[in-house]
Amino acid sequence: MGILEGKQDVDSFNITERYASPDRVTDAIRDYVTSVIGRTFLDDEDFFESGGVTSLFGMQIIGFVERAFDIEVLDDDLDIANFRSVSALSEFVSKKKVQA
Amino acid sequence: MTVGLSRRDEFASFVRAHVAPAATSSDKSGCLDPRILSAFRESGYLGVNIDPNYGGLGFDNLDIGMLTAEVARACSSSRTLLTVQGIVSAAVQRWGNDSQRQTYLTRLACGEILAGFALSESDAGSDATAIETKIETSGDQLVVTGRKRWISFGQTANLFLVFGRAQDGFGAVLVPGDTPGLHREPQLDMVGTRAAMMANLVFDGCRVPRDAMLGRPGFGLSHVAATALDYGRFSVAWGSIGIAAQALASGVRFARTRKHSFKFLSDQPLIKARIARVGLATESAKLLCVEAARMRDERSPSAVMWTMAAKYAASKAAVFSANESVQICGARGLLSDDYGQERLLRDAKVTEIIEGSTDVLELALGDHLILRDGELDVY
Repeated sequence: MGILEGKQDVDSFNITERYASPDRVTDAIRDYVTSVIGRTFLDDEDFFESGGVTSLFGMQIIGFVERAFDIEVLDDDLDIANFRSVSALSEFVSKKKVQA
Repeated sequence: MTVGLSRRDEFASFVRAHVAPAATSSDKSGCLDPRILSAFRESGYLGVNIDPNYGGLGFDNLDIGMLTAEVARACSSSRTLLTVQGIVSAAVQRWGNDSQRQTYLTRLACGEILAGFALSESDAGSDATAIETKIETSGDQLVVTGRKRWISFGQTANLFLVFGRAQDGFGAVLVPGDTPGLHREPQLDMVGTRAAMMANLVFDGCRVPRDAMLGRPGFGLSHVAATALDYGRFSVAWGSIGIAAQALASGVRFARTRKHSFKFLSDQPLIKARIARVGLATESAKLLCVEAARMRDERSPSAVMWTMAAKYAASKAAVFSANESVQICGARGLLSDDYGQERLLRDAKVTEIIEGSTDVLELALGDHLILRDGELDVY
C-alpha cells in the first residue's frame, strides 16, 4: 500500500473472497465509502445531500466499483440515482453484473 | 532511476530531431512551429492514450509519462499540445457514446482534429462550479453562450470540449471550431508556454446537435471534466519532471565547465549542495509519477490521489530545479538563448498553476491524509 492509502486500498477488500455473495456487495461499498469520506453512512443516506463528499468522489466511487466488481460504467449509466447512496450503488452493481 | 530505457531512447530521438530545433524560435514567436505539429501527427503521438481500435497508440501510462517528459525537456508548449489533445481524447474515450467515439477518436489520434479544453472563465478557475457559460436546449439543438479564458491552442483547435450550465446541471458539449458564433481572441504575452497559442473564446449562441453532449447532463463537471483533468494532471506531472530534469542537467553541465577562483563550480561545496537538493527533489517526484502511472494502469481508484500527489511534487520540483539552475548559471541563466534556462523557469511556473494549482492540491491532499490518520505505510 502506498503512502496515501492508509489502511485500505481496493485490493485489501479482497472482493472475490470476502464479498462473493451479492449480499456482501453492500458491505464492500459501505466499507469503501467509509474509508474515502471518513464516516459511516446509513445505507439509504444520500451522499450528495449530506455535504460530506468532495468533487473527486464521483471518480473515486466509479473507479472502485469498476475495479472491485469487474463492471464498466458507461455514459448511459450516468444517472445520479445510481450513485446516490450505498443501497443505490449496490443495486446498480448487482444490475450491471447480471447484464454482464 | 532507469525505467524502460529503450522506449525512452525512441522518444528522446524524436524530440532531438523534431521538437528541440524549433523550441526557442517557437517560444519567441509565440507560435508553435508547424513542423513540430506535423511531426507529432506523423508519429502518432497525438493518440498515445487512444485505444488502437480507434487508431491510437494505446501506450501504457509509463510510456505516456516518459514521452511527455522527454518532450517537455525541450519544449513545454509542445508538451501542452500533447496534454490538451490527451485531455479531450480521455474524456471522449471514457464518456462518449459509440457514435461520438467513432466520430472523433480516430481523427484525434491522427491529429486531423486538434482539440481545445474550454472550462476556465474569467471568474472561474480553481472553482470550476463558478462557470457561467450556458448550454440551453432549443428543439433538437443545444445553444452555447458564454466566454472562456486561458484556452491552450484556442487559436488553432478545430474542436472544443466546452463546459457550461445546462438545465439539469453542468454539461459538456463538443463544439467544432468553425461553428457560427464562435470567436477567438488570441491571448498573447504569456510568461510561460508562450507557443501554446492560447486564446479567449466567445460562444455567441453557438448551435450544435443535441447529441454533441458528452456524457449525461448534470455530470459535466463531476465526471467528464474530472476525467479530463485527472489525465491533465498526470500529463503535467510528467511534463514537470522533464523541466526539472533538463534544468538540473543544464546546471550540472555549466557547473562542470565554469570556474570560480580556479576551481570548477562543480567542485564548490555550495554548488554541490544545490545540485544534491535539486536532484533528490526531482527523483522523489519522479517516483511519485511512476507510482501514479502504475496505479493508473491497474485502474486503481486510488490513482486519482496518487496523480494529484505526483503533480504537486513534480511541479514544485520543476520550479525549484529551474530556479536553482538559473542561479548556478548566474547571468548566463538569465539569457534568452538556446541554453534555455530562463525558458525552463518561465515554463516551470506555469505547471504550479494549471491543472490544479499547488494550493488546491495541498487542500485535497491534506484532507485525504487527515482521513487516514496521516500514517506512513512501511514497505
